[in-house]
Amino acid sequence: MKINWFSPLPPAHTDIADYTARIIPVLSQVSDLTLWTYQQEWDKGLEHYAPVLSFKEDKLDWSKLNRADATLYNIGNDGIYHRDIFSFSQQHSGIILLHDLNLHELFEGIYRSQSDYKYLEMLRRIYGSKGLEEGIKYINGETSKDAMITMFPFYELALNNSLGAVIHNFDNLEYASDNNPAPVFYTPLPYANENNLRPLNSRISSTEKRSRLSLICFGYFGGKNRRLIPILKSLASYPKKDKLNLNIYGEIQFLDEIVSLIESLKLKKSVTFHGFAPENKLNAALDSADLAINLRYPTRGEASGSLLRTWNHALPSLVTRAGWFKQLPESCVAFVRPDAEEEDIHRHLNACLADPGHYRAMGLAGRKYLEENHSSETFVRNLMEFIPQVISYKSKAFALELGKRTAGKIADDFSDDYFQKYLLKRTAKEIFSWTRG
Amino acid sequence: MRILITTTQVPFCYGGAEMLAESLKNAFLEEGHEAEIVAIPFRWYPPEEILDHLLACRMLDIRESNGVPIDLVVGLKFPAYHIKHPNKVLWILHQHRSAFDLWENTGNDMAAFPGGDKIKQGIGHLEMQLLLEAKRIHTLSSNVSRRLEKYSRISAPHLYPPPPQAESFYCEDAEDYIYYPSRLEVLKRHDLVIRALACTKKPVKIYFSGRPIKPEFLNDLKSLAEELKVSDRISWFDWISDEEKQRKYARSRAVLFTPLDEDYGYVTLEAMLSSKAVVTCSDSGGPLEFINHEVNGLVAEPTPESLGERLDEIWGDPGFAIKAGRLGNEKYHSLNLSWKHVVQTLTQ
Repeated sequence: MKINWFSPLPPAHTDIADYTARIIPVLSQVSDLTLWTYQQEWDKGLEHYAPVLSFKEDKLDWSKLNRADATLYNIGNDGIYHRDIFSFSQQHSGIILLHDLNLHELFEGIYRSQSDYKYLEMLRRIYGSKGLEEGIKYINGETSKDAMITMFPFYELALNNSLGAVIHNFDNLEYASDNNPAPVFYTPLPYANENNLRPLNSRISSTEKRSRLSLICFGYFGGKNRRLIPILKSLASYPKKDKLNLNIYGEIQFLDEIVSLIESLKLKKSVTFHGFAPENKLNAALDSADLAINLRYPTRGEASGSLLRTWNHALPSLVTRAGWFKQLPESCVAFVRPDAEEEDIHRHLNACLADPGHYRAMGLAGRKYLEENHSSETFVRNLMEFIPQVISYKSKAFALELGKRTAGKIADDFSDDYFQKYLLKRTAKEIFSWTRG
Repeated sequence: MRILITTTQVPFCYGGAEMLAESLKNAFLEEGHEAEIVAIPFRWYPPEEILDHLLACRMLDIRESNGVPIDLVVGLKFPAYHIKHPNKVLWILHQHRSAFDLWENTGNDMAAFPGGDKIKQGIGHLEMQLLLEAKRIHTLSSNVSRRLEKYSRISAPHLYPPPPQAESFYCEDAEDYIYYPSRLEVLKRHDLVIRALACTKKPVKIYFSGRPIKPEFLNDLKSLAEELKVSDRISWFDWISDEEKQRKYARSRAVLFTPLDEDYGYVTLEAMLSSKAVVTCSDSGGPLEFINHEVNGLVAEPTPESLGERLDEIWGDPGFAIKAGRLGNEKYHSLNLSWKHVVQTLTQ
């Protein structure tokens, strides 16, 4: 089976590049795979598994794309990595790997960079007058970004024109399938494969109490939904904050604001920024940490690669009881309620100091859950079963486009209402009949 | 019966399919039917246009004309053969090959467009659905039947027509050239012939006749011949009259016909009528239904080296060329191809 795979690739600073790197060794064993990227540079080790081509060349080989059985597009929220991939997916339909159900930030970035009007137009097109009204309020500063994200997820735009979608959060199946004629498929977010499982170290089996807790937050902090501000405020108000230190790894989009906050909260001694860290450094940090904090609110809805990485280190983690996280077993994660963040963070910190064994067991349970549910092999096996459904849908997908195009032509060419209705009815009936069988 | 022949016509492009439609109409008239050709103009690029044309065909109503019923529709080419009629018989000259057997072919125009794969899949789906509206399906050749079975899972017998003006072909003493009459286009592989000529050891000469599908295509071929230093062994004739074509067949040493997977190919039959051996390729499709290697012609592998070897062989053995030509002529007559049989089959 020939497969095209569009994705950011390592060393791009995004989880999705790592996700691709974890899947490719397995996927390349069962398919004739081509990787497509907009990047100028990539980890040359990937070419051991599949050729890497650029899709921004002037002379693009469309036949290579067309002759594949399936083209898959990785779509996440970060415009730096996904704007071009989305744009390409609109030219050449394929399967959308939906890394976030809520893609408001991606599409706000894409359309507002064109004009506010374009952004409002897209809100109106997808969400009607309510979308337009709220969009105007937002642009005028009368509605918050979080409110817009919650109300208008914009995943519909990513799925428009697609031949199928893959999601990693079962709860999102209904949303992604609603008003979407293409097949949608759930499979757990892949993480583990035979090469990337971490050896379990001695920290994990130790039950001794710690005089200090080492906390870790990591990833790309592109939006405030990673809850860095409430986390810092919770630490500042925690009575035993002298027993904590927090290490933050990854890029922070609003770094200046965070630095000022840390100063004003007098947390400089407890919090250390490391910026983007290479793999080995981050792995060492995760190995030596006692507790990860991995909150999301508002949730973008999809599975968290960061949590899977945390589990790989058998590291316990605080997560928000929302979105994908809320379906996870209580034994594997420590929940924080979105409306009681400070209270719950304090409660878990107290408990972790008093009974570290309980949290270490939680980390081990997470690791077991990871191995059982999130292997790359499972993902690839499920994907290969899904692709034939997409091929079957593809043979009828033309009808939707033909219908839209024909309706447009009729509207353009015939001003008379009677003619328009007559022709629309006749052509629609004919085109619909083609989708049988 | 009042019979309409529905076909597709690329404007200003005239070839075997157009000749066949004309011959079929005349054959209906000779058998006492009323017959006309309805030719739908066709453009296949960008690929979305194909579906627009199909939709336009499906919107046509040819059940009657001036209140008088059309008794029978004979569909020849996609998408015109999908025009609706309650009594429709198909005689498929070929399907839209870019979506089927030519999909993997280098230079496939549909595959070169964004979204071409979706149109390909769509056409594949629609063919399986819409072809079944016909009362009966015949095809032009076993090769077309084989493709129909392979890609659309429809089994249909072939129905060979005789070439136009079959009675006008004749044989004369051979002069020093091998004749390749065919429209100049990629699938006819004139470039392969030029490369093969460069591999020959004997002073083989080729006459090409036929109009290029695009003017620059002829220039490209001439440049290739120049580059390979075989220009002086090739004569180019543009469109020539039927009489001139028959003369060129008659006086050739042999006929060359090396298309890629031809549907049928009048050239083979015209060569047989002219008692000429045919040199073709193992992937040329239609010609292989009539040419047996070293009996009434030669079959080369589709490489310049192999084809060059066969050209040397036929050039260097006039005795074999004459004998093979005679056997080809006998074979043609044993096929009993006639328009009367075609009309009877389509109207039964």
